[in-house]
Amino acid sequence: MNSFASGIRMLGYCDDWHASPGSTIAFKVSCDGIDSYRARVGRVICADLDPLGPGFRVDPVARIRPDPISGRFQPAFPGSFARIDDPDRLASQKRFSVAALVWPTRPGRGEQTILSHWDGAAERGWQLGLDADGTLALTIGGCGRVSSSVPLLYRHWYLVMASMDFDLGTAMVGQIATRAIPGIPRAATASMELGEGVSAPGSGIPFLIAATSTGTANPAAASACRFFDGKIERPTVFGTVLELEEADAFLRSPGGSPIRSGILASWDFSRQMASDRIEDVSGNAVHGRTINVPTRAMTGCSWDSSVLSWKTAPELYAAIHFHSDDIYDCGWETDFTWKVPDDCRSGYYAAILETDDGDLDHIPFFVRPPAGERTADVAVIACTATYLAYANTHVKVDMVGSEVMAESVNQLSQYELHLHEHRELGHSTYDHHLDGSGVCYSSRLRPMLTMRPGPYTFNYINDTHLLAWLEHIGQPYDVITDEDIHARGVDAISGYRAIITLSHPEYTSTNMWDAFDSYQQNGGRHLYLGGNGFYWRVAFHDGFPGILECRKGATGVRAWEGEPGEDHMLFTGEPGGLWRSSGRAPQRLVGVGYSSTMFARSTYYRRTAASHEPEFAFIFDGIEPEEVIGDFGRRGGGAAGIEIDRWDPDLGSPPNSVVLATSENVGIDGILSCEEYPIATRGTDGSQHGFVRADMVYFETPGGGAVFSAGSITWITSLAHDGFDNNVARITGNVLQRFLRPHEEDE
Amino acid sequence: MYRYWEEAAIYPVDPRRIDLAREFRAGIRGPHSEELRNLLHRMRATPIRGKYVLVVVEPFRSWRIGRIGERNRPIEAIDDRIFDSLDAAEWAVFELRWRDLTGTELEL
Repeated sequence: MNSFASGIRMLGYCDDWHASPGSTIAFKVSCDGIDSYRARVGRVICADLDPLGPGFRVDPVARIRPDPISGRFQPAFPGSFARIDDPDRLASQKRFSVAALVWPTRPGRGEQTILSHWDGAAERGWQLGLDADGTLALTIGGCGRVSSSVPLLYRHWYLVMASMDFDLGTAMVGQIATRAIPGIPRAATASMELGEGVSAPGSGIPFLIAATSTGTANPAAASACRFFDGKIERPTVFGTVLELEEADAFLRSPGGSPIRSGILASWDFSRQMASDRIEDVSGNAVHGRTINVPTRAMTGCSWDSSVLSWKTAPELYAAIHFHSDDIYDCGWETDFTWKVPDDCRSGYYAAILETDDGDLDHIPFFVRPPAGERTADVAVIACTATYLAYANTHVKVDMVGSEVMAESVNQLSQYELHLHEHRELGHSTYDHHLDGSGVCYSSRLRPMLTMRPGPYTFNYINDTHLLAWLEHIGQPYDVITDEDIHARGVDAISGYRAIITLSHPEYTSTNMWDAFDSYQQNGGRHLYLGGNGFYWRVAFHDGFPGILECRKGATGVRAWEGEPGEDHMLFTGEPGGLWRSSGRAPQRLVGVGYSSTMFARSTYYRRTAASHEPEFAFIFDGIEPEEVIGDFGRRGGGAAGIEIDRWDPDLGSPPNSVVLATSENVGIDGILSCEEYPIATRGTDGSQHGFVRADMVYFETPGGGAVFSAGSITWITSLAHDGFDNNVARITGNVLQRFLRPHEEDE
Repeated sequence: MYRYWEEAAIYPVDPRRIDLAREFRAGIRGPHSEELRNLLHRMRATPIRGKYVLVVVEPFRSWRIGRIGERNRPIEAIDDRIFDSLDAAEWAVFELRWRDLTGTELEL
C-alpha cells in the first residue's frame, strides 16, 4: 500500500524571533531538492486558511533580495551527549578502568554508548555501552567486542564498568544491578584478550559520555552517534585496573564524592547543573560540556524519596537523563538576513519563502516597538511561551488520548506528516521521547511546524483572528512577547493603557506572572480573551536562549507525568507543574481558571443577573438583556469551547470580581479536568457538574485598573463571524474602548 | 513516567448492535446516546500503532484515510478514496473500525 509524502521540501527558522525596528534577523533554511527560492517579508494579519474564517491576509512589507536565494540542504542532528574539553588528559593510559551508574531506558533497542574514547575516523580506541541485545559490551578498536551476556533491565540502576590493561593485553567488562531480582544474575563479567598491536587511545581522540565520536568535528552535534537513552551518574576514570566490586563500592558510596588516589576523572553532574558544564571533581580539571541539552536535575541512584527538590539535596540529583532525540539548536548556517526598517510597525510577521514549483514556507517572527517606546495604546501579548510549549507537537500520532479528546478522527496536515517522519526536528512539551520519558524542553532554534498556516490552527493561527479584528476596527497595537515580559518584567507593558492576552496564554514564568500582576495592581487594564491561561509554571534561562522548560507534576492536563522527585525546574529551582499547585491559581490573576475541556463542540454564554447592574452597562452596550452571546464561531460553533475557565473565590477570584455571563448547554461535551475533583466519581461532565463552565468575569484593580476575562479559547475565533458584526466582537470592542480611556476620564 | 492508556478502553463491541451504527451515521457529530458514546470511545481509544487518521489532501476541503506506523515512518494510505466531507470520512473510519473490532463487515 502506498504511503503519504508530506511534500515539504523547504523549512526554516530564525536566530531570534524577537525583532525590533533597526535590528537584523538571520534566517536559516534547509532545502531538499530546491535550487533556489524567493523570500519576502509580510505582516501577518490573519494566518488562518479556513475559507470560512476571517480571511487569510499577510500584507507585503519587503522583498528580501531582488534575486533568488540559493537553496541548500542543512540537516538537523538530534541526540544529547557530553564531550570532554581536553581528552588528551585521559590519553595514553596503559592500565585503567572506567565505571558509571546507569539507568537505561531503551536497552535492547540498538547499540548505545555509555562512555567512549574513540577515534571515529580510524575506528580506534574503546567504547563501553549496550549491545543491540541490551547486554553490556566493551568494544576495543582493532580487537573486537566482549559482552556481559546478561541484558540490562529497562529502568533499573546498574553499576557498569570496564577495565583495560594494555601492558598485559587483557580487558574486562562487568555490571552489578543495584537491586537483586531472583532468577536474574545480579552481577556479570566477561573478559577478553587484546591482540598484538592494540594500544590505548592516544592524543587528539574525543572522549564522550552517552555517545561515540563519528570522526566528524563540525558541527558539534554531528560529531556523535550511538546515543544512550537513559540516565548516567558519576562516570569515573580510574588510573588502575579495578575489580567489579571495587568500582561498585566506590561509585555507590553515599555522601558526596570521596576521592581517593588514582582517580583520573570523575564527573559530578550535580555541580553546575543549570549550565552546559560538567565538572570533574578528581582535581585534574578534566571538565566537559553537554550538547543538545540533556535533562539534568534528575534523581540519581541514591535518591531515596527523602527530598522532592534537587535544590534541597543536589547530591541526590547527580544523574543526567540523555535522550537520542534531544535537540536544542539545529545550528544551521544563515541563508539570508533582513534588517527591520526603522519605521516598521510592530506586529506578527513572517518571512515567506516561495519557489516556482509551489513550495512555500512561513517563518514566524515578531516585531516589537522600538526599545523603550510605545507606538500604540494597546499591547497584544504574543504568547510565545505557549507557541514554544506546543512547537512540533506529535500528540496526534503518538498519543492515544488525542483522538479521544478531539472526539473525531485526527486530521494530519502536510506539516504533521513531515513531523512524524522527521523526528530530528524535535518534540514539544506534550510529547514523549523515544524512550517514553516526557519532553520538558522545547526550543525555537529549529523549524516550528505548528506555526505555519494550515489545518493545525491551535494557538498561533487562532490568535491571529484577534489581529484581524483589530485591523478591522482600525485599532493600532504593539506586539510584546511573553519572553519580553519575562526578561523585562512589568516595564515591558507598564505604559500601555490596555494589554490583550490571546486565545491560550497557558504557560507563565514567575517573572511573567509578577509582571502581569504588577501591571494590574498599578492601574493596568487587561483583556484576557482566552481559556486555560496562566496554567503551567515554566522557566526560561539566560544560558539557554530560546528554550522553555516545563516540568509536569502529578496533576493538571499533563500529556506526560514527571518522575517522582523531578518536578522542580532546572532553570530556576522552582517547583514546576500547575500554578494552582504553587498557590497562584489563574483565578488570582484574572478571576477565572481552567476547569474543563470541550473539544467536540463549543457553546454560548448567557448574561447573569449581576451583569445588568449599571456599572457594567458599558460592557453590554448594544446587547439585549436576554441575548445569547457567542452561539457562533469558527471553532466548534461557539464562543465558549475547547478549553474553558470558571470563577472560584476559593481559588482566588478577587472579592470584587463579578461573573457577567456564563456558558449554557455545555452538556456531556464538557469534561472536568482532573485537578477539579479530589475523588473519582460519576457525574463529572457538563450535564451534571456545575464546575464545567466558562465564566466571563470583570473586576477592577487599584489605580483605575481592570480585568476582563472571557474564559474560553474559542472567544477569539468567534470575533470574525458575520463580517465581525456580532455580539462577541461588540462586547470585546466595548471593553477595549473603555479600557483605552485615560484614567482621568473615568474619575 | 506516565504511559498513556494504550489498550485501556475495553467496552465490548457487539456486532448485533447495528442500531448504534445507524445512529452514528444519522448524526456524526452527535449528540449521541450513552451506548454509542461508549462504542465511539472504544473505537477512538484504539492503540496508536495502526490507528486510523485523516490525511489532509486540500486544507479544509478533502481528506484520505491513513494509518499510523512507527515513528520516522510515513503514514500508510489504506486505499485511494478521497472524501470531500469530514463527516463522510469519519463514517468511513467507523466502518473500518467496526470490521476490525467485530471481524464482520458492517452492513446496514
